[in-house]
Amino acid sequence: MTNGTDILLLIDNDPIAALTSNDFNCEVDVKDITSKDSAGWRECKPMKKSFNGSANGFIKGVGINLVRSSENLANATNWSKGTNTITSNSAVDAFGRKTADLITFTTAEITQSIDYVQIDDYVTFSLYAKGSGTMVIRVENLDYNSSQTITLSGTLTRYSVTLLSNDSNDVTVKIYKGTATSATVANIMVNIGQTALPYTRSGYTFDELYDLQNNGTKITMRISDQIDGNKQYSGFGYIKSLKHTDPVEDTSTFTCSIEGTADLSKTTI
Amino acid sequence: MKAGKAIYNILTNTSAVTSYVSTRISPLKANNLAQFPYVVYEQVSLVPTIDKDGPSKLDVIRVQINILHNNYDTLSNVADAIRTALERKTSGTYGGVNVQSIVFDNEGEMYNDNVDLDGIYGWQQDYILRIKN
Repeated sequence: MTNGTDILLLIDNDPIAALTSNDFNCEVDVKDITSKDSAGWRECKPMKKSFNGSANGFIKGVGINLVRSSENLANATNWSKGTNTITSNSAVDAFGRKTADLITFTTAEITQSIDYVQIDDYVTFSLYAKGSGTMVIRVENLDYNSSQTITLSGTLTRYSVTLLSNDSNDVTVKIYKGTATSATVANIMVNIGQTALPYTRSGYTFDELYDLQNNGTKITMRISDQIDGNKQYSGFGYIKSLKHTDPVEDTSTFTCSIEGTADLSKTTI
Repeated sequence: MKAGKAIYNILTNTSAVTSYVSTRISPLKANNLAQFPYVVYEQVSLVPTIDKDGPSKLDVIRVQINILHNNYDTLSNVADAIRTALERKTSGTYGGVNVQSIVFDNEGEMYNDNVDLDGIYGWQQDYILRIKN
C-alpha cells in the first residue's frame, strides 16, 4: 500500500509547502458512436484527453528552513547560478529521494539572498554534497562573511558554515568551485542558530503560488514520490484557482487547483 | 507537558491570580489539600498539525483547569481572574513554550461533598492552546 504522505505535487521540481493532501485527475472525453450496427449495445470512442491537479495545505509563515528551492538549484527565481550548469534530480539525496542536483562548475557562483535575518542572528548554511576535489560554501552579508572549503568525497556528507549577522542587510549564501569540476548537492538549508538543524525542505508558499497564478506562468506539474525507479506523471499547466481559508482559532489553509495543458507524460524517476 | 508549563508560567506571573492562590498551582494533583483555594491543571488532549513536510509544527492542546475552594464567592473570583489571565493571551513565549493563542472553551461548576474537607466547591475551565514546536 502506498502512503499518500510520500506522493507530492511538485511545481517545476519544488514541492508545495505544508501539503495536507493533493489530487491528480486525468480524463478523456468519450463520444457516443452507437449505430444501428451496435446490436443494441452502446458504443463509444475516446476523444480529447485532459488532466488537472489540486493541492490542499496549511498556510505557512516563515519556516525553519529560510532558503527557497532547497531541493532545486535550477529554480531561476530563487537561485542565481551564473554560467554553472545544473542537472536536476541527478542522484538520490540524503533522505532517499532523487532530488540531488549535479553542478558542473564554471568560475561563477551559485547564490541566493535570504530574508528574515535580524541583527545578531547566527545564520547557519548547510547542504549535503559529494564528488571529488573541493568546493566552497559561504554565507555573507554586507560587512561579514564566513566560508568553508569542502573536500568532497564519494559519499553524500553534510557540511555547514555559520555567520554572526552583524548588520541588517540580507544574508547571501554561495556555492562555488574550488578544484572540483562538478559536485552533487542536495538538501540545502539555512536556519537561524549556530548549528545546522535537522533538514526540512522548503516549498511553494501561498504567496508564491499567487504570483504564479497572477502572472499566468506556465508551470510543470509533477505527481511524484521522488523515489528512484518509481513512476511519475508530469505535464504543463496553469494555476486555475487559489483559495485562502481562515477560520476563527484554527489553522489557515489553502486550496490550489492546476489545469493541465497539452500532453501528460508518465516517466520513470 | 508543554501546555502545562505555559499555563503555570502565566498564572504564577499574574498577581490577580496569585493574590488568591499564591503558588498553589500544580499539575494533576494538589500539593496541599488543606490550604484553599488551589488550582490543578491537566492536559486532556493533544492534536498535532500534520502535513507532508515533517513533524508537527503546531500542536492544539486542550487543558482543563480545576479551581477548588471552600468558599463559593471567592472561588468565583479566582475563576474570573484565571480566565482574564489566560483568555486570548498575547502570543509569545511563556515558560519556554511558544504559545500562538489560548482560547477559553468551556466552564462548569462542581461540588464535592467530602466529609473530611467539609465540602469543597470546584470550578472547571477548559482552554485550547495552540503551541508552536
